[in-house]
Amino acid sequence: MLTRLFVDNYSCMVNFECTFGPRQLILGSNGAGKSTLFDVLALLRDFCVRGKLPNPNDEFFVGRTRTRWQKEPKQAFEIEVNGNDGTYKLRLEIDSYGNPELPRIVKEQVYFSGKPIFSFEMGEVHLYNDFYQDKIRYPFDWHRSALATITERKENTKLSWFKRWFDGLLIVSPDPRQMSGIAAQEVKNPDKYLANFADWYRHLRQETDDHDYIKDLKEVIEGFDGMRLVEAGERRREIKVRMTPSENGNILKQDSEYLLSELSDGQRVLIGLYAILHFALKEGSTLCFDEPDNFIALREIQPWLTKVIDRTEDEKSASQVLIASHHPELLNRMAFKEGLFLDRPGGRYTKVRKFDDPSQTGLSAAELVARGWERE
Amino acid sequence: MSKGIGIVVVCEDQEQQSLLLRYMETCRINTSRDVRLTYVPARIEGGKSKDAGTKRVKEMFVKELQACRARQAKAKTLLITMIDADREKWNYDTRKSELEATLGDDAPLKIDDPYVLFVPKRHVETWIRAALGSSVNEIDDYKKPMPTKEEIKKAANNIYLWAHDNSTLNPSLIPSLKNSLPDWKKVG
Repeated sequence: MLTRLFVDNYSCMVNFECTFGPRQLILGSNGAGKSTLFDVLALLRDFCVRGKLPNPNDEFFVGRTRTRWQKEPKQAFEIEVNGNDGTYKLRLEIDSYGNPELPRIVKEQVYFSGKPIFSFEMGEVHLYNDFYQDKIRYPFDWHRSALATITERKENTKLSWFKRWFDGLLIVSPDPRQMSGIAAQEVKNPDKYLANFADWYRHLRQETDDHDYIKDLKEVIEGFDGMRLVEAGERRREIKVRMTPSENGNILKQDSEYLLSELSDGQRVLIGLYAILHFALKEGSTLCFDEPDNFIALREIQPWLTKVIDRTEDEKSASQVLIASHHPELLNRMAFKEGLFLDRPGGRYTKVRKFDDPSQTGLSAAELVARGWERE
Repeated sequence: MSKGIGIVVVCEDQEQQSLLLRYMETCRINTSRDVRLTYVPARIEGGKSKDAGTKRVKEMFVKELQACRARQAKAKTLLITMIDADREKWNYDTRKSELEATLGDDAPLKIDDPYVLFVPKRHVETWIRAALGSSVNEIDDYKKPMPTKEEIKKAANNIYLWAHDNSTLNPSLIPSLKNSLPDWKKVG
C-alpha cells in the first residue's frame, strides 16, 4: 500500500508531501494538483519500473515539468510503500544534462525498512542482496533508470516485490471515446484512458472467469445480457455486447449484439469500471481513479462506489483505492472520513490537508465544496 | 486563502430567485463566484409546488442560518431569504415568526444574525409589477402574465435606485416593498 509521496520541483508541487490510507478521496478545485499527483505516480512507475526512456521531444521530467518559478534544476521524488512485512522507500533525484538536454539521474535508491536494497548514484549501480550486502557494482547510463533494468533473481526478492507492486499500480481515467473494442493483442494492464480495454479484456478472458463481472453488468446496464470476443480477422478479436431489450418486463425477441463503440459513453465507462473492480482491485493492489464518475449517470455511481469500498474493507484483499473526484455522491460518502484536500493558495504551489468543515457549519461535504467554505 | 462564497440565497421559486439575482447583478456582486443559490424547483402549472416551496424554505432557513452563523466568525456571510405572504393574514412579521419558530428555542433570531428576509405581499410578481411602476395592490394575483427577463431586470434596477435614494420613491408604493428597502440596501 502506498503510504507517502514526496515531490519537489515538479509542476505545481514544491516540497509537497502527502500521506495515504487504504482509501482516499482526493479533492480540490480545478488546477489544484489532483491529476498532477497521479501523473507523478505514473511517471515514476513508467520510468523506474517499466523502463520508459526520456525523449527530448516530450515533457518527461525535464523542462516544462519543473516548477516555473523555481530556479532549482533538481527534481526530487519519494514514495513509501508498506508491504512484504516492511516499508519500502524509493528516492529519485533528477537534474538535466547534455545537449539535447536529457534528464540525468543524480540518485535512484530503494530502501527496505531503512536498509538499502538498491542504489544508483551518479552513474554507478550498487546491487544489494536480501541481506543488505552490497554485492555488485557497475557503471550505468545516467540518463535512464537502472532500477528498471534489474531482473528478478533469487537474491533480490525484496527488490522484486517492490518492482512488481509498482508495476501493478494502476492509474485510470476512463475515456469512452478512446475505449477500443478491437483486441489486436493481449496486455496485462489497462492504460490510463482504457484505450486498450479490448486488449486487456482478451488477456483477462484467458486468465480468469468473468461470471461475477457479467452478473454486475447485467444489474447496472439495462438490457445487458453478455459480452464476448469474436474473431475479427487474423489474430484480431472484437468485443460484442449482447443486449436484450424488454417492454413492461417482457423480453422482446429482438436481442442483438452490438460493438463496444455502438454503446453509449456511460455504458462503455461502466463496462470499464466494473472490469477494474473485478479484475484489477486485487490483493495488495493500489488503484488510482482520476474522475471515474465522468460520463456516468448519477444513480450508477453509488453501486460501483459501494462495491469498491466493500472490496477495500475486505481484510483479505487489503487493496488500496485513491479517487480524485468532484462528484457530490463521492464527496458526501468519503470526504469527511477519507478526504485529502488539495489547494493552491494564490495559484502557487499545492498544499494538502485533511478535508474538514472548518467553521462547523453542519453542511454536507458537497455543499461546502460548492461554496468554497472547506478551504477557510 | 481562496475566497469562498459570501451570499446564500434561499427562496421559494425561480421568479424570486431571478429578482434577487438581477438585484445582486445591479449591485455588481459577482453572482458566478460569490453567490450560492440553493435548489429551487421549477414551477409546475396546476401543481402544489407553492406549498412545497414554502416548506422547503423553512427547512433550508434553519440549516442555512446555522451554517452562516458558524461561518460568520471567519468571513462575512449573508443569508438572503425570500418567502411570499400570499395569504391575507400573512405579512412580514407573521412570516418571520414562522421562520423563527422553526429555529426552536435554542437558537432564536438575534439582531446581529447574518440574514435578510424579504416577504413580498402578495407575491414576488406584485413587487416586480410595483417596481415597474404599475398600479398594484397587495391582495390581487399578478402571477400572470409571467414577467419577462427584461422586466425583472428593470424592476431590480428600480428597487436598487429606491433603496439607495429615497427621493425617487413613488409615495403610493405598496407598503411591503417600501418597508423592505433598508434590507435591499443591506444586500448591496
